[in-house]
This record gives sequence, C-alpha cells and structure tokens, in this order.
Amino acid sequence: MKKILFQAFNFYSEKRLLTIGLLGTIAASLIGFVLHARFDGILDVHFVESIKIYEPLLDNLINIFSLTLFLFIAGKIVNPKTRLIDILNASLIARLPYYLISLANINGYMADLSKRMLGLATQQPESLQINPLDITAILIFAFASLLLLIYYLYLLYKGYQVATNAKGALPIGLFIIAVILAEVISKLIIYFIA
Amino acid sequence: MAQLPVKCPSCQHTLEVSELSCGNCETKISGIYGLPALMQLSVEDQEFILAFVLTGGSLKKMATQLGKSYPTVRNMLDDIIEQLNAK
Repeated sequence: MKKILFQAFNFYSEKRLLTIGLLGTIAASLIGFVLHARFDGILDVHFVESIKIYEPLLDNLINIFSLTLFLFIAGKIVNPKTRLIDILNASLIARLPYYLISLANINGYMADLSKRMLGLATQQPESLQINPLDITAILIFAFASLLLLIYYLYLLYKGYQVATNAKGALPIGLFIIAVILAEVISKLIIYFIA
Repeated sequence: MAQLPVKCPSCQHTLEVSELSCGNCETKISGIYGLPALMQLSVEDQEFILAFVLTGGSLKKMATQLGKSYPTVRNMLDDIIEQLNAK
C-alpha cells in the first residue's frame, strides 16, 4: 500500500503509470462533467452552473500539458537524462487524488452552498447568518482540499525527483518556479481557449 | 564468506592491501596495493554492477529484475558513476 500511495514512481513501469494516469484522467474528467467541476488551472477546482462535456477534459489536458512542459524544462536543467515520459507520468498520476475534490459537489451541494453564501454576503452582509451544518461542511471541504493539494504536490515532486535524480536546493527551486509558471500559463490558456 | 572491509574502522580512510597469500603453497607476498575502484563501493553497489553486466548492460532488464522503475535504476547507476568519478 505504501508503494502505491507514496512510491509509485520508484516501482511501477512507465507503461503502467501512463495507462493508469490516462484512464484516471478520463474518468475524473467525466466525473467532473457530471458534478459540474471545472479544473481551470493546475491548482484550481471550481464548481459551475453550466458545463459542456468536453470542458473538464480540455481543462485537464491543458493542465497536464503546462505542468509537463515546465517540469520537463526544469528537469532538463537539473539532469539532461530526464525523459519526457517520466515527467508526463508524474503530472498524470499526481493529479489523480486532486480530482477527488469534485466529489464535494455531489447533488450540487458545494455549488449551492457557495452561491447561498455569496448571495448573503453581497446582498445583506449585516444579516449574514450561517447554518452550523454549512460551516461544518465548509470546514471539512477546506481541510480535505488542503490535504489533497499537499498530497498532489508531494506526488508531483516525488515523480519529478525520480525522473531527474534531483538532489540539493536547485532542483527544489526549479520545481517551485515550474509549478508557479504552469499555474499561470494553464489559467491563461483555459481562460482564452476553453 | 566474510565481507572485505574497505574503510579503516579507526579513521574511515580507504584501506590498502598489505599482504596476499597462496592457499595452496602458503607463499606470502607483502607490499602496499590499492584496492580497485569497484571494490571500494558498497556491497549493494557491487551487486548492482554485477547484475548490470549480467543483463548485458540493459537498464530495462535490470528494472524488471529488481522490480523498480526505469528512472530509479538509472538513478542508481548514475549515483555509482558519480562515486567512481570521485575516486
């Protein structure tokens, strides 16, 4: 179990990782469509009222492309032997747990809650009264989202570390820069294309 | 068989061979001989190199045999190369 959850990149072949990553991304995109989730940035999940079937998949493809591009450039700087397939697999596999955030919108719960909150806050901020159940749901959602985000970045770094044989501070710095650039570029591409 | 020590237990300096003996006629040769670079590696690294040679230098076959991913095995080889270059 430890191998699967924390050391997948050390033990599984690139073909297996690629297959799981691609199938997982397609499945998560379909679930995203059903649950009205847009992945508009490598670190973003938002719930929307209307959604087209291709949008979550296109979001994810753009996110994976951006992550792979910048991490591959960083990887080549760290170690010229870095292979594209290993970086692609890191981007595909690391994102899989993050897709679970979309499950918070089963029956449109989280989108509806956000809408109610925003409505209350903007129209009658003085009479803002929040149901304790909603507060609990928001706290659980925020905590789970944070944990999944940390796990996502952990897996991404582990994949990058194995792909590049990263040691020392430089690879970590380049990884952080690559993730920030990938976030900016993916958001811009999704904004203009999708 | 006992493992050949390569580091001095007192000061951690690399050991040298000072005596060789023939098991058949008990001839003994004394002198100062440096250990070959490969013998200065850890046992795990020596076993890795042996397996690497036996697979014909194929990292893919090594990865399958060891049950590890290709980049992990390549990183192990790169680390050994780095150690050998430092000697």
